[in-house]
Amino acid sequence: MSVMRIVAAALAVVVLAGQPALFEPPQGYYKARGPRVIATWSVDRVTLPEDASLVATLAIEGATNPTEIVRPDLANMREFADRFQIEPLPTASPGVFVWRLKPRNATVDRLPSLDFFYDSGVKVGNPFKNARVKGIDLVVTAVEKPAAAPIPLLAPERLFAYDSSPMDREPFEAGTPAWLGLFAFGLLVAGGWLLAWRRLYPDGAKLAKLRRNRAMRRATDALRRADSAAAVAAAAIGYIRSRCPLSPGRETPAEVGEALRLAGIDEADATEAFLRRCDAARFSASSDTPMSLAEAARDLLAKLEAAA
Amino acid sequence: MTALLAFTLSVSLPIVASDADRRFALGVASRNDGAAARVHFARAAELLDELRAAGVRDPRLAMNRARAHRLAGNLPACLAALHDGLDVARHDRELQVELESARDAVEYANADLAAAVRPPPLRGLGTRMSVLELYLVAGGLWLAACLGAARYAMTRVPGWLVAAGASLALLAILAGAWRSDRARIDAENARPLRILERDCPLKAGNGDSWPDRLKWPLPAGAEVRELARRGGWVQVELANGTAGWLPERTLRATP
Repeated sequence: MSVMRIVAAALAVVVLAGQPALFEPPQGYYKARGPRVIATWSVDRVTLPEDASLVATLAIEGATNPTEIVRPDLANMREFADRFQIEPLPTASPGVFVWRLKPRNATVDRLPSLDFFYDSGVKVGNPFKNARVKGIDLVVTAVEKPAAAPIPLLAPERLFAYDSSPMDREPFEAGTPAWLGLFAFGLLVAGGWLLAWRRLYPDGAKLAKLRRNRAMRRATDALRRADSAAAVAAAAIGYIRSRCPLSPGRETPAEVGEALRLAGIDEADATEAFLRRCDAARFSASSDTPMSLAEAARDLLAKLEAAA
Repeated sequence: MTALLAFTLSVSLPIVASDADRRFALGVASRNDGAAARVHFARAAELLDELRAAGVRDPRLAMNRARAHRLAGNLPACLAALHDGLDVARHDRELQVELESARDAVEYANADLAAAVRPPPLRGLGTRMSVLELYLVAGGLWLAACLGAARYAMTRVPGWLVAAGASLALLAILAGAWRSDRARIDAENARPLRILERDCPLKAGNGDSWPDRLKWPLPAGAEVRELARRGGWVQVELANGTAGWLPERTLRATP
């Protein structure tokens, strides 16, 4: 087995002897050829605001085939694409490439270096050399964004009203003492009123008696002054009116008698008869005189007073 | 110690109130810039909440709190403040109107959901009459009844007795209506009011794995009544009687 390996190795040495070494073009080879190629970055400015852009120029010197050099695709290189928005610009001369680069944000601080391999044409060893393009420091300043237009607070106008007066108004609460107090207050006021009334007017019976006495006195005075049957009748009706309600205009003997009967007064018939005598004396020939009628009226009023 | 606390409060409360006034005024002044205004209103609301926490029960404070919270964009806190105010002044018409306005602002997914969730307006004698007004009216009727009886004792005219009886009848009707109102309020308070602080689906059980009870989630500001609690979830009842479960952390307590 080991003999087979030795033979295979010897055979490989024999076969490969005299062949040039194989070198693949590395990444970053843009078909530039020349013994000594130099590539450099240049920018139109190194300080720019965040929202501006710069023009970057890649110049290749020393290449024997400037027209064949391929433009590096910066947009596909992460270190460039992460930093800039890249726009290739047309170039006027071969071996010169121009881009417009717009920083993506204010943290961008450098135009990155670029590996630029070229074919040096040497026959021995690796012909591909790296003319690495050195990056350039940049200063990107942040742009103060204009503040967004404020949005008004839309709400019904009454919501903006505010009561700033002292907040010391406690809601009224009626407890048991308050209700008991109210209950007692009603009783006290009513009781006090009743007592005061009784003090002013000792009692209702006395008051009624006083009222009746006054009526009797007025009637007696009227009878003394009466000089006609009509005056006697008027004095009697005046007294009767103080004893029981008589509607205005209801003063005929029948009406008065009926009112007295309704009031339960026993002398109703006698009163009615007396008033008929008065009417007879007024409107027809009668033996009654005002004096006799006044006497009869006094008797009648005395009976009515006694019946009260 | 209590005296010291009372003294401290008496000194600090006016300062807090003044600061809240100033913050609210700043919010109004900067209303053309909604974001800035909301910051001021939110701070004013915080300060007003401090006053409430310190024991101030003035209904005007509740109104100021509600408006500050609403302008700050916190509708659930606005609703809670209004309920807080109505708890001490149920008759306050301005608070009632503001409550309905805040309920209008709750963003229900559709009219069906609003009909199911939105509580009916407050009703009852207590919403029309303050305790003081009731006290005065009842006192007037009682006094009228007593005076009518006294007058009857003086004159023996039956009309006075009838008047006294009528006053007592009115008093009895008033007392019955008030008692009925209180009984209804007590029945409501037996199931505490909770306000949803953010949109949340009503679940059929106390867990996320349960299916939704309703087709649409309940919106922030929805008012529900608490029935029970279990494992960080609260069983609630909606205005239309639908029951379901909500996470406890999504609910805001009211007085």
